Amino acid sequence: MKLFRFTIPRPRGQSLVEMAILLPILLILLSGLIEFGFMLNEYLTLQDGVRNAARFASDSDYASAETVDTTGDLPCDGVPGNDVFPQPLCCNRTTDFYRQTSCLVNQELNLLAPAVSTLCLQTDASGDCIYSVIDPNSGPNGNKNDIILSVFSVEQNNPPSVLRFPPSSTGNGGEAGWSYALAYNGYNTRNQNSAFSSADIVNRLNANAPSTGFLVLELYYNYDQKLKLPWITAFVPDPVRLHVYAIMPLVSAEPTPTPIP
Amino acid sequence: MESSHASQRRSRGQALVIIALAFVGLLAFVGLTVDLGYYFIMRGNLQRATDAGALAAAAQFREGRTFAEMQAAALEAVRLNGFDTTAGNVLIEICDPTATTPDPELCTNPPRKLVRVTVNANINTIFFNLMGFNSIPAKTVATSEAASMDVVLVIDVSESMTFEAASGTPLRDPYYCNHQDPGGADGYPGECQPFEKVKEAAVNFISKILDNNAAFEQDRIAIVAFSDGVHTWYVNPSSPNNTNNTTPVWISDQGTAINAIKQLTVYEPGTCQGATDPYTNSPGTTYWGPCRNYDSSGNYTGLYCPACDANAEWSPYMTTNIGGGLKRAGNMFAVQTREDALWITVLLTDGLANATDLENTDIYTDPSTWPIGFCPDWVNLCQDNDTTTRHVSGNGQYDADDFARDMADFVGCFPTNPASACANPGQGSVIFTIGLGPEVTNDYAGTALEEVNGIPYGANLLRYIAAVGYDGDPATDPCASYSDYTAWCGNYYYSPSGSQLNRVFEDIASRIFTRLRK
Repeated sequence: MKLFRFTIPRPRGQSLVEMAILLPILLILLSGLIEFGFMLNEYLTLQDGVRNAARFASDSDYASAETVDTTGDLPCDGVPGNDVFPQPLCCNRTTDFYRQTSCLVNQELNLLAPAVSTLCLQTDASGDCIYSVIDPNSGPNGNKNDIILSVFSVEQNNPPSVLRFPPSSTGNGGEAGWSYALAYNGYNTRNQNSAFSSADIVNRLNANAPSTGFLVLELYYNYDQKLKLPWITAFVPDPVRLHVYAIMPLVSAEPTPTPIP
Repeated sequence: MESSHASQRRSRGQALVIIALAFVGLLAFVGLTVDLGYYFIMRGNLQRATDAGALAAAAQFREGRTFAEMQAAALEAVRLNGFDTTAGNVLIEICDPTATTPDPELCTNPPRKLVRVTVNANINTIFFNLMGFNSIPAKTVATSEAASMDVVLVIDVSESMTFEAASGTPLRDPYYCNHQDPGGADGYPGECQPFEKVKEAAVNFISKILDNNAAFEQDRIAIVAFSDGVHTWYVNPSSPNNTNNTTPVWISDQGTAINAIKQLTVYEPGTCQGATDPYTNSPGTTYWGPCRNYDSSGNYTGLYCPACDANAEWSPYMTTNIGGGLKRAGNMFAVQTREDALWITVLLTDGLANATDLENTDIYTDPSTWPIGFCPDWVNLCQDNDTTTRHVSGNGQYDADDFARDMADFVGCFPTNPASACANPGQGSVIFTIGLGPEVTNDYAGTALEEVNGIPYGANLLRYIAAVGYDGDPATDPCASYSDYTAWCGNYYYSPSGSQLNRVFEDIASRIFTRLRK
């Protein structure tokens, strides 16, 4: 009996060893699944936000710039008080197309939050965040968050000619696109460039389509891993840079014939 | 013992089997998560592309665009968003009224400018691929709408619409020129100039707005004609020159609208030598309003107002009631209202505002109740000499110009949260104004009527109206930096004579269509 008793643990031990080998694999799979699920959720939220903002902006006038309001104040210049871009007050009052559109992205993400981690700029009395924006200072150096907006005016000659707005002469535009981080009061550094060159757009045009205008709205967002597990971060960088974009028609940017005086 | 040993062996095998099975199940779930995640992402991208396609297609509901161009525009937008459109997987549909069973979602009553874009795509799988499922089909649909248009044409039919004929010639007489070419051999009955050119341009304009069969026409036209304070009316296509018509009429049929324009005549009051009061066309012996005056040999000498002369009160003699025309245009939008339509008013005049609607207390046969309307009784033009200073109703200097500005606010200012510079909330219509001929840019320098700032009465008013109709805010004027009153700016147009009007109307038509999705 004694001998026999000694023989019993052998298979038990085998099972334990099997488990010991398999469990880490299982855990890796499961944790990867969870991490991936979180990231997917944020990605879809960002995608929805960018799509909605671009759809909204497609009705706007791309040439609309900041105008002095009835009180003689220029919005978003930081004077007076808190109309600093992208603070809520400035977003309420700005008439600049590019600022408005990036405010729309932030607003959409506010509505879809809290899935997306953003920078809180305003809290209510009970300390809950009521206004948050994409944080331009989040992410690894050289690869931080940004919203890039470009407008293309497409003249369907043969071959088509494309004008890109805002022009580089504005200091925030050209082939790199308008940068939210560069316009962000107090940060004022370009984080990202547009992933679409004018040539990319020309390549995707349809020769039979009439002249038209497009806006290209891109969001670069650094997803901070939720679990930060070493066996994931060893293979997948933390944070993960996500890039979502939407290209929508923009009637106001359609080239119009030179008016006859 | 034997049995217990056997059971140990069994359990050893069980663990392996269970773990192996669980592992397969787990892998399947990993695959499901990854593939479904990818599917959702791609489906989101597809929806984005479809939305863009529908928006691009809706923007092509405009003058002179074909369905093929609409399809190409939608395909372009889908392709820009990263989807292959070569395989014929994009479907663009608009209402086909000739189909045996028209699609109820697209063919609505009343007709709307709807376009539906459907994109089919196969989204590739990664894990399921191993099990033989190469792709999952996805289908996204987006319907987009371009705004229908309600357009009110406000046309000046005052006697100055004959002024391209030289003074003293018979064609200067509205009665004479209206009755030339009655059959319309040149396409338009009557030979008054520039009025015939106005009609020609208006017909061209209407044929661009009402470009479908009446049964599926989504846009509507209304016509308002204005002359003096009593003769400003909604044009009814069945009797266009019935100045007493007070019933607003929307027209969807191109032929009907064009015919109404063709039949319009320059307003012709009775003669000063006739038996009826030319102001009301009713029997009477005193001529209170403007009448057509002829000399002893029967030559037309122009409009005249004997009673005005006798009372030294000239306000009833004037015949450009811009404010009254605008008032009726604003009222049009309250009739069979379509909230979702784009409201547009196009005002054409050849002069300055110098007449107004009657006030209830005005009795045109009793000079003691004059001025008729709101004219200050001490000026001949029914207009003070300062067009830039605005007075409010009730003020002794409230003139026809002030009345027209108030009515411009009524038509162009927004109904809710109007701009602070608006006198009142209004209808929020887009307004285009067209100044025709030299009288518009006349500041009457060197005469008793000289404008104190040297600003032309007519053009300044038209620019104000256009500024209101541009963005609902009178304070923001796109013309502010233009000192040349013959320049086109914002919603203001100037045409030196009738011949250039067609270009003006064409420009307005193209701009209306690019403002579709306001």
